[in-house]
Amino acid sequence: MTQTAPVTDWASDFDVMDPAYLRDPFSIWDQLRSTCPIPHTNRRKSSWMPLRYDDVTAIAHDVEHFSSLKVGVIPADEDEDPNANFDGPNLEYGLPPISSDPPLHTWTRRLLLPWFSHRRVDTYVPLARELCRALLDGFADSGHADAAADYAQQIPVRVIARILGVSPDLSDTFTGWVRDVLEFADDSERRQRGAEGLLNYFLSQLDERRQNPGQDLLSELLTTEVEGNPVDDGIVLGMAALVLIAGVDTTWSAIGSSLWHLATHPDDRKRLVAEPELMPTAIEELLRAYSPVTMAREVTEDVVYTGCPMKAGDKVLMNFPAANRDPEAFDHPEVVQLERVHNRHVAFGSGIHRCAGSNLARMELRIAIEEWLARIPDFSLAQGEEITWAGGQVRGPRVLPVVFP
Amino acid sequence: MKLRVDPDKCQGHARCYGLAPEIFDVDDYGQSSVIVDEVPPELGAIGYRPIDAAKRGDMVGCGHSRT
Repeated sequence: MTQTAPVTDWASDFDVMDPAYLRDPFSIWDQLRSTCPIPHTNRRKSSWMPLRYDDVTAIAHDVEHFSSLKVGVIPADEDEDPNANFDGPNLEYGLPPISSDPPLHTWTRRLLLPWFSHRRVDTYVPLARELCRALLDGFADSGHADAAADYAQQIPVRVIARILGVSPDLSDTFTGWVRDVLEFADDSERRQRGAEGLLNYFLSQLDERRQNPGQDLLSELLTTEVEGNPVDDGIVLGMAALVLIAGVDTTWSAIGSSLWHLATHPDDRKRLVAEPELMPTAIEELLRAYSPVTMAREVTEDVVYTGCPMKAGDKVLMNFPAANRDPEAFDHPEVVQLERVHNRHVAFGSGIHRCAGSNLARMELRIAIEEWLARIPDFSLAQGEEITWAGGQVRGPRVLPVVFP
Repeated sequence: MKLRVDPDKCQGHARCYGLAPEIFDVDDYGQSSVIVDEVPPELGAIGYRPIDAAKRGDMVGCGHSRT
């Protein structure tokens, strides 16, 4: 089910997969924010899309009226069983904790958090640096690269593979599955194929870990007990799939968008090279300005929110990227200010579903930018070569040709 | 100057720790805490960024406040 007919009225018929929106959602948000800050569409499914910071955060915190059981921006057809061809444990809980409400959300999140604590993430820094340097070795002398495919895309998936204890040699396969699920979700066949590939792989990995447990996240989930009981296989599988899906497309997109910004804003690029002490605020600012992730909620009962008659079952697309560009919340949000201190951005969401992997994402983004600038301080877009952007659930460049002396 | 983190408001954004690890720590579950009794005066006096931000309450929901 693909509906990409041109959009003529963004307030009542928006389409997050519209090519113009994928390229430049910013001007569309700005226009809507002052006229219709919660646009609606009936494309794919009745959906609302809050764009103001206050609305997005208020809805994120109202977990009673806005459920996380279905967080996909591009919904499956109503009559489609997403796991029809998957012959494994029951996946009725989806990918907890992201696709769950309390109480399941609470304990599954608690199992994941220590794996992404500052202390744990610090131990992955050498791996991330080594990865970045090896990738740069591959193209730094050639004068040109695809900063998205040759660099950004290659980093987070390998760190996540280490955490999960799965083979980094399969990185391209993992990336393919994740893209099928998130970026090509309008193509139900492709989405299902990606989901099946991913689930079947992790199912085989669970069997393997039972026989040869290691020090990885999968092994721990299999051996841990919650209130005296082992964790249900379907939940372990969902959590494993979540860590891969959430850990790959998102950070890769943030790295790619940040490199796009530095390629197109030479003053910022030169300043970051000259003043590396700006890195902590610069990373947060790049996350604010180019937040990749939109997550959906489902309305649990009819509710009128700021005049919008939301019906039970409607989707609400939590546009965190647009909230981070709201002039009521940020001074000159359209300008990237590398030294911005007052930066209450919601790139990682807000409330109980706030990203569990943000420490990892920040670290990967920082190391990726540091290493790139150390090796290639001067670069720009390759003239005449096309840039492509993915969007919908996760926005970021997928082809980003750059040149350097 | 003393600072505290309200555990009911802290959401685990960890901006405080990222900007001022000398003052804040974050546990394995994302809960922030202040690890110094007194914020060193030189940090407060020069408008050291995280302190400045904390004074304004300028971190999402994390409830830093002066005591």
